[in-house]
Amino acid sequence: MPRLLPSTGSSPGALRQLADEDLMQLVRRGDPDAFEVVYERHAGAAFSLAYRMCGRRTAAEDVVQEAFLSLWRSGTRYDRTRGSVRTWVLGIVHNRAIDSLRRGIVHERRQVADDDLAERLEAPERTDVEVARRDEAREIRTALKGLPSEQSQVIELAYFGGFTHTEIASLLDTPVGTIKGRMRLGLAKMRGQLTEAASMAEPSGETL
Amino acid sequence: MSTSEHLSHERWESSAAAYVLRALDADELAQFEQHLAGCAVCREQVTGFQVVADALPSAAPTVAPPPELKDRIMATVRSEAELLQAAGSDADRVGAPAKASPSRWRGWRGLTLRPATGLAALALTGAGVAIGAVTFGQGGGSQAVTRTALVNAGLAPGARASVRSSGGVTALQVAGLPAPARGRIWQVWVARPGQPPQPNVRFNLASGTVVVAGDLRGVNQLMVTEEPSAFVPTAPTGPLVLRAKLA
Repeated sequence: MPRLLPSTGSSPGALRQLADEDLMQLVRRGDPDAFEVVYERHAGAAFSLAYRMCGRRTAAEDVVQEAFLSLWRSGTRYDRTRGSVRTWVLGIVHNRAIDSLRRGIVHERRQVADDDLAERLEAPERTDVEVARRDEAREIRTALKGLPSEQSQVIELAYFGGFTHTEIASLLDTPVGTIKGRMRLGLAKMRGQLTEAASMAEPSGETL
Repeated sequence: MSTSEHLSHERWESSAAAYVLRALDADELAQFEQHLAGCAVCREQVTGFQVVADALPSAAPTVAPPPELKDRIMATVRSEAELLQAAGSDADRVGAPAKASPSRWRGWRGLTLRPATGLAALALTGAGVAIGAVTFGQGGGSQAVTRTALVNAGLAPGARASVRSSGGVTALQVAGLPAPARGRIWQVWVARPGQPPQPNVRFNLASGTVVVAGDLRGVNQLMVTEEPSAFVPTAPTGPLVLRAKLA
């Protein structure tokens, strides 16, 4: 049965009850309150990803701002059959951050290392969804850390560093074919581990 | 898989992982996507690896975004929503269909904006944004068409703008625009229905005429946003300064 959407101007409380996909329908119609709820739900993950990639707060803020404004202005491009709103948002952030890195806007290419630990602020766990996301995050970190270091290194350099495989080959003084092979082996292994973790988890009707 | 397909596939055998990590070089990316269209094996690999790539953001340490970031983004969003709404209500007032179509709200690109003939200014509530609209007279040859632009008076108080098309040349006329912020520039965008806005010329004139470049067939909207001067973004990122309907 189609869900009835509140009209533009619904109370923030009512909007917060809606699923992301329904909120996006309102965003498409130009509803800033619906957009605000989408922002609140995903800004934490978006900023964390941008900060991990850019390594500087100002650059991360620029990336997140650019990504969310693009979402506001191009909501029609969201296609629910191709994944969750969160995946879509994070995909935009990832693309924007890579563009920034490759354009050289982020000059000090991320030294996000441990000296920045003091800046990390854990968002409070508020809902079951948040708890489930924490579990998922733990699984993916474990899977990444569990890889042979040469595999996790190339995945991190590519995904979070925005380097192309030829750049990574040059950085590590290793043939391009080897770099691609490490990416493939690493992702295949992670996929296996995540599938295993998912099959061990309690079946749930909810999606994140 | 035929021999030629096999040879072609061999070349790309290890590329699916690099592809989902966005690690292919630009030219290689285009070639791989072409190969992907005809290779079920690679498509299956990409689908499998994409699940992992989609989960990778979770591996980033959690960092809370600063509250000012939300304030900035929401200020832009609300001012644009006001601008859209104002244009919509104006459209009703100046002879749009009596009953506003629900499809009027189609986001950034789909706005039904009508020339704000005779409209001096609209004071808006909420974000405190005011929109000034000034109609420039019809001028030039008989083919010349001048359309008023709606100006975001919160960002450019007192500024006026119009778009004039004559003899196949379209020019944006501005008067009284403030200087863009340091390191920023006014960026013109043109949009066709159902398509994302395309960047066009950029300028930092306060008053004068800016000729809009390229083939404008099918373009129904022109917008100006404030953007970084160092590069041309692929989509509008800065606040909307003005907007005009061209068709």
